[in-house]
Amino acid sequence: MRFLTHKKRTKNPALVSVLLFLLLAVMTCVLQSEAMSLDWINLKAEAAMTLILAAVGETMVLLIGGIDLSIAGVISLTNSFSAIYMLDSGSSIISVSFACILMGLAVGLFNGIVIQKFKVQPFIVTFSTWFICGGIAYLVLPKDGGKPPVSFANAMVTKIGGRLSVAVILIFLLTAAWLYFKKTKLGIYMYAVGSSDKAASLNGINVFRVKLFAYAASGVFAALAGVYRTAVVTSGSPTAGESFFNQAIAASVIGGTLLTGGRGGAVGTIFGALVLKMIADILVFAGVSSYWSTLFQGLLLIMAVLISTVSEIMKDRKEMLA
Amino acid sequence: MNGAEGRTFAPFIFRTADGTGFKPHVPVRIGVWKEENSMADFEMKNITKSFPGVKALDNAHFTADKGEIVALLGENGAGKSTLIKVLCGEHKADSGEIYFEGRPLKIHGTKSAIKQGICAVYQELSLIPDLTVAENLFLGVYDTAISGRVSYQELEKKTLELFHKYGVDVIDPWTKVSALPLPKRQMLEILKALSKDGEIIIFDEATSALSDRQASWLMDIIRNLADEGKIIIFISHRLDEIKALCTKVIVYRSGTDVADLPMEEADADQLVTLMLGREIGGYYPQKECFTKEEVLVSMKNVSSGHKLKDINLDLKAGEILGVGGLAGQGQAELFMALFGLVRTTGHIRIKGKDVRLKNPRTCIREGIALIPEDRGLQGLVLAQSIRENIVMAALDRIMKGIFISEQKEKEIVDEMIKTFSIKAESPETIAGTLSGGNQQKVVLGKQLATKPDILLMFDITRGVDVGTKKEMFNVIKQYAEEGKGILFYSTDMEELVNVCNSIVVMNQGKIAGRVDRELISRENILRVSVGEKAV
Repeated sequence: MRFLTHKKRTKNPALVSVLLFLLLAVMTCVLQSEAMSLDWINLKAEAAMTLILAAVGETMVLLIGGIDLSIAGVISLTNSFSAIYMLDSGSSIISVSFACILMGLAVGLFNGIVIQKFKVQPFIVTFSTWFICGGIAYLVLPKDGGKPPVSFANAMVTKIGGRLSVAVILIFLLTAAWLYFKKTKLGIYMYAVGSSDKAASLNGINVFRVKLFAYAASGVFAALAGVYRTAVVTSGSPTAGESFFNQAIAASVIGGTLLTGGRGGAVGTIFGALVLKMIADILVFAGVSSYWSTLFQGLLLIMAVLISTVSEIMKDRKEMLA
Repeated sequence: MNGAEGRTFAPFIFRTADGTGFKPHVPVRIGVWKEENSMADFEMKNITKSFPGVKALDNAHFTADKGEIVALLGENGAGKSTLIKVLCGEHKADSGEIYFEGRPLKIHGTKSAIKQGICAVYQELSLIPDLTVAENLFLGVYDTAISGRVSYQELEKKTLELFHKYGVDVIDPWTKVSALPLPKRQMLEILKALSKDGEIIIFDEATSALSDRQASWLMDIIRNLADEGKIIIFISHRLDEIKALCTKVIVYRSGTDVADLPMEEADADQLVTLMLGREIGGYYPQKECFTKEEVLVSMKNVSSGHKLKDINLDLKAGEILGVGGLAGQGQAELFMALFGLVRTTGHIRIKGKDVRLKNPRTCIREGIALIPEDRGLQGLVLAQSIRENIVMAALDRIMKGIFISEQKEKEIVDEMIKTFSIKAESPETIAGTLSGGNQQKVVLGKQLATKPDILLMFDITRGVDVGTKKEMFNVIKQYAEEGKGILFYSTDMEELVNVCNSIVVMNQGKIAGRVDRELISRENILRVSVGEKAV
């Protein structure tokens, strides 16, 4: 019966991640009160920025009901590439960054086209492109290293007005941009396609284009993440991206994005990424070995998912007996 | 098309004093003279469409004039849906042409079809559950501000205007569609198509989830649209509706058109014969009463939230008990309560034994089977074969130690395929490739393979063709004769009247009354549902 499957979904899916974020923020304030300062916030934002960029791209693909594993490869590739080829001049910085973005775009478009034209599962296609990009990254930069220009690194960690770093500003910009994008035609179409691509197509929505956009955006965001990492870490690594796929998915899910598509959004993801970073920090501060932090991130992930589903189940019961 | 260059006369338009004019429902043709290659306002010619292994459309034709309401009839799998999908740009025809007002129409996809004035109310709903009412109604045609953002004030305004224009009870534009019950969603689906202001409007099983009141609202709207000169294509399995509404009927069988005649020349028996290609005697089986004394289900003061209130009901062995009333009066919850899907208070006794129906598994163990309406979602695993689907719920019955006994499995599967005459090449055919009617039969087979004593049938004939319906009714009767208790709900009141021994009428979660044997009629069901006595 159809009525068995519909649930009232009015709660904001980002809620869990925001609450977790606030909780962890309070915990950090209590545990490390001496460390709390604007500088500290800047530092943390910079540390989380690579993940945030990667995860926001991933979220867009998850929203349309796909998955993009290739972000890991793209991050490795663009990180290695920019670490090697970027010279200390404004024009080089800009052109190399631009080239990286184009690479990300190309990979994203390739994913989107192959997945849809040849009807291959997104998992397989993006899994292959991950390997391809990862392989090229090894060719470009066989060992960790590279000397990206200091001026680029400095530019990325400049404090605007002497107070807030570029990363903090970027987080605000990304949030604002998403809230704006969500209510554009394309934004609504993405939710529609993710919810049911057949129904979306019946409404005259060009499903192919919407999905292609999501994969392309994911590629571009991954490239941005790779380039940003070059600035923050001031070196490149052909395996830089390896851990980012898992983390990006984790951040999206904690942020309330459904892996089945149609629900969630980048704001939750941003908070999800911050939460993941903060929990690692708190554990380090509490003197727990870093091996434990992955375990805790895993627990956090399952907890976040349970919180949202349990609340939904409770709500359903209430409605039934109201 | 005008007479000078065209080859037919447009349906005659009566001019009224104020010059607005109206068009009669039945096109009146004066001095119709047709040349060899004369054309109707809308024509689909020689449409052929093949899918791997099946020729869904074979040289099919479809013609209609402006102002006509054309019934498109056919069994499930006759090619109606494919024809509509070709017209709406969902499928591309292998060959064939489409003309509108004498000009060829090129349809390159759903968007292009909508742009050229073809819009459809789909049987499988095209609403996006995660979006709001307003977002859904104008999906694909949003007005955007210069900033690129969708203008939400405008959207709300347009939504309310749309409700107002068609006289529909206002639904909050910002509720998510997933939170609305099925009849409301079907209304939205209809409104969405109407908002597109197309020239050719297709109603594909649009009335199947509507209450009688909503259905008559829709018919009025369709008549108005025809008066405005639109072409209406109306698909329904309810012949009475078609009789009342349509001006012309086109019948499809095995992928091609077999008849095209004005409504007044067609009678119901003839249409059914045309659809099936053979005679079908008596649509409903002869009514008989097999009711015994033994009470299978006894509900005492059963309540569940505000949806079910104080239900007292007995279902006896061999009884076909109908559940009637307007749509959404708690009938669904009654069925859910008996299948352990909602929590209830009160007492339920099954075969004289007090039980707590806490989940579907307990219910199956107690010998209850639920056959739901929505075969794709709840009833069937589309990617699995007919065999796997049928034995899925009945594995306990075919186990030999820890292994599945292939022989027992085959027995059950063959029996079910035979009972319901499921049309498929073999039991290994994938359920998803079957036509709608056959899928519903597999669902029935699957539920009955557990050998239940109590059958809960919830709107099982929704979207099923006449031939299949007839077989289903026969099977229902047969099961009643075997002494099973059957609780039967249908949105089609005609079915309730013709199939059931007794009918309980529900209103606002309560049982408003009961209509027994000789008194069963549409009028009496309505009477009871508004609180009067059956006469």
